[in-house]
Amino acid sequence: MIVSLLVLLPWGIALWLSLAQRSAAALSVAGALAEVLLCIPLLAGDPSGLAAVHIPLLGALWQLQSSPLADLFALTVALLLPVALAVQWHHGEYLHQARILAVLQGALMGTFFANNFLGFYIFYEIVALAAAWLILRSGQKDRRAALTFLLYTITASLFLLLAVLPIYLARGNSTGIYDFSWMRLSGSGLSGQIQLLLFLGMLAGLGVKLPLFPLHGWARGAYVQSAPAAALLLSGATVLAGVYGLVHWAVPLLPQGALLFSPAGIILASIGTLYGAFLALSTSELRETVAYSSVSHMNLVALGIFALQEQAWSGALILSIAHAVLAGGLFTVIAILEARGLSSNWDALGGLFRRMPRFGAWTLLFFLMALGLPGLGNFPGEFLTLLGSFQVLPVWAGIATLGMIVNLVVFLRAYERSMLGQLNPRLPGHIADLSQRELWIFLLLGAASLYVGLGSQTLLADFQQLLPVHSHLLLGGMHGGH
Amino acid sequence: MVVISATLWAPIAVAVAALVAFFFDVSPRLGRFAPYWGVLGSLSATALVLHSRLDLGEGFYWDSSASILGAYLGLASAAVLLLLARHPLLRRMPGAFTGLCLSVLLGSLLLVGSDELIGIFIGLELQVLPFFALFAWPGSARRSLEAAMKYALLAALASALFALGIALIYLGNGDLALNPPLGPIDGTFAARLGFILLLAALGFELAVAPFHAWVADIYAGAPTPALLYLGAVGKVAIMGVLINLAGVSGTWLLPYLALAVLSIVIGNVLAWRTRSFRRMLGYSAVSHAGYFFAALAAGPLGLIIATFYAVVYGLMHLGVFGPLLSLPEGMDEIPWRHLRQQAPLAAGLLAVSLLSLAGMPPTLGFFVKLGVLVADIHAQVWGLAVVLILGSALSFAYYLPSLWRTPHEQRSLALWHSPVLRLYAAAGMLLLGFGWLLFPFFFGG
Repeated sequence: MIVSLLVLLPWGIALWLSLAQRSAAALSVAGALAEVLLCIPLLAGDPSGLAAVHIPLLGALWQLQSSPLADLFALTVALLLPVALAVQWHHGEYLHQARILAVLQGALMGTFFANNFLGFYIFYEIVALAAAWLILRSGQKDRRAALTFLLYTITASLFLLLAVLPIYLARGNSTGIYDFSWMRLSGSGLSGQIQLLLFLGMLAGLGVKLPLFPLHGWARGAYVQSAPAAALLLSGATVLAGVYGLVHWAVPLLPQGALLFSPAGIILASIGTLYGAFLALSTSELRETVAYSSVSHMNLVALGIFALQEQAWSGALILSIAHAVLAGGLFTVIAILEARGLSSNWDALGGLFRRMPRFGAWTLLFFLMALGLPGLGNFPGEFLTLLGSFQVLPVWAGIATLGMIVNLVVFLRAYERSMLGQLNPRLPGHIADLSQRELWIFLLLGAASLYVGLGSQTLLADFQQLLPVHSHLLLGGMHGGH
Repeated sequence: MVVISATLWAPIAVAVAALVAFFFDVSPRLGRFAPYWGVLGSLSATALVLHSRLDLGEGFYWDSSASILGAYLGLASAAVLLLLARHPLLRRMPGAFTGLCLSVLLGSLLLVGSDELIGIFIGLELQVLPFFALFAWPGSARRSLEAAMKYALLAALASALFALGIALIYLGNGDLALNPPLGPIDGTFAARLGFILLLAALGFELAVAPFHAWVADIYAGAPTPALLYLGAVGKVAIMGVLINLAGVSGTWLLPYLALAVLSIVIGNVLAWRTRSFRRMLGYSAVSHAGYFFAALAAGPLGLIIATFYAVVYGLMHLGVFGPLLSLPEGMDEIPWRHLRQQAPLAAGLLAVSLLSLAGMPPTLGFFVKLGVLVADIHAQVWGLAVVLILGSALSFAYYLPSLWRTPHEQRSLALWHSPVLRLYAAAGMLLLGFGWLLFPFFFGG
């Protein structure tokens, strides 16, 4: 029941926002907060699920089921939305964006809870469409970026669909029950080679959201051309749909394929980690730095998943949640610069700490988090991911570590150029420091970062419930075993 | 005494209604009621088809796919005529317009239900000839005369090919039945040659690549009401014949496969390249004909899927061209701002239909495409499935920009709208958006 509400509440609010204009701003915030509250009973261990809309040959399309990982991702997305709304507050396009953000949030909740593949796919496509709409209607209103994003994601997700259909037909042929639900699809017993081929198809569809290394062509346009609040949710929340798809659908449905692909996946993801870091190093635009470092971090998440090793998996999942917090922090920094009419290029910045000390201090916190300082959010995830994957393919895990080191250089240099040093004479005379609202955003995100960084034990405990299920499905095939 | 087989009631009812409809033009006051007479005739056709469902008559029968399509054709024709009843184009000679539309419906019913090649040929002619007149209807723009001329030339060529095909099949089989008593229809070399000619002729009518040259010009030039009828009734009936032909031609799937790949690739690429909205719709119709052939290429399961594809294609066509009735003739872009203000429901239907054509879940267009994919993978034609995927991914690149492309600003623009259009748009949005909830009624029993 709660799970349906988590999906339908944002959609209802989006509908209301498009029909009635008055008092809509307050309603969008109230809805976002209600969504956070709704997540609490789920986390308290109250399992919720239901199956409705039975369609012959397809199964129950509205089949939602809560699980520890889904609950945690749902809470992350629910918490990110108020942050995005607060960032966008007082902006001329606020209402328009709040509407699309609500649609996006509802669809994301659907992808986390859906237990019928077709249901998952439908939500996944709505996520893609809403995200493209967001890029189209916010920030630079860049049609090219929106279309690129859309073509990447739609083409790839059609391959995801194509890859699942043989599993569906094979299961249906052997059991006589044609159904897209997770239970009916898993354990297909297809041969290893076919599984590998199908896994590649599923990976194309899911990896493009991360974005995994060769599929990252859309990332720059989407993260740089859209409004900061939109980019925040795109890089923080929609990537979680890809991670969740890999963990909940691709690997369990095709364990043999995942195992066969594992070495190639590790290599791709390590290259992606390093490549993303170098791209971040090569730009003087703060916003591009943030975009590319997000690509780099998400490739590290993929590395952890492909390692198929318990520590690496835990690390990857923690890192993906930390990445959401980090994206929140970094894009808020960009938004604050933009709101004051400042460019995000170093050439126009420099010595900003003197003018905005509070802003400078908070920016430092998130930059330190991005470069993986122990105690802050990113560290446990990065550490566990690398630790786990070193046991599988040490050389390539080493290359990914190199990527993390480059990341360190990137953020230290970016901070030095933009915040420290001589005051740039081209900066305007008076720049307002953080407002009350911006301070609250930073406080919330900072607390979340510290929680993930220091209290990751509790998150790990959650994943412990999840992993045995998956590793049994992998037929004891996980690297390192139990 | 002539005994009329029960399966012929529906075509006879439509034929009588068509003849009567022409007489409504004797006085203008009577003429206003002609479209409603057409609605009545179409609905009675649906009722009679449903009544004689699964009846096998002499040379004419309603098997399951034919009765689904026959019932759909009657309903679609009724919806179109109801929508057009107050349209400005029908101010002159509404009786003749209705009569011609009903003739098309008669031809379409003959096409989907006939078991004899001669019956199909008559159906084809009955369908094609009225469209010459409908495309060149008095009061429509000059470009539509050109469109009508092109259609006439190419349709005449198609008819000639069809006749030649029939002759060759008779040469090979010595019989004109779709199911000849001595073996399959494509058993001999001459019959196979004739069968290919039949496919080519029907391919002309459906605008399958490489026979698609006419479609963009017609879509850009012909009057919208005639186009609405062409796609929703005419093309769906052609799809019905193709389903019947694929059902009897045994295991020979290569021609379908080739036409499917060609249409998907050529249709999508041309639609993507063109700047004009209506030409884009024309080329995208080519790609949809390709998806339909992709279902036919998948054997028995594909035939069931193809039947649904035909119905959903008709619905999507109704959904796109119904709202386009609001725009002035010859307008080649969508004034979204005006449309949203003056006819919000029609704007919504147009948007939903475009998404459905692209195959965006959870619209009906997605579910039929999913069905085609399942059928292709089941038949293990992997290459075709991949081509279909790539084609429909590319189709997003032209359908969605048409949703957000802002046209040259026009200060004021009076759009045609009517209460019926509002009702039509609301029903259409529900059907295309949530029509899949009706699946249990088709498969459950």
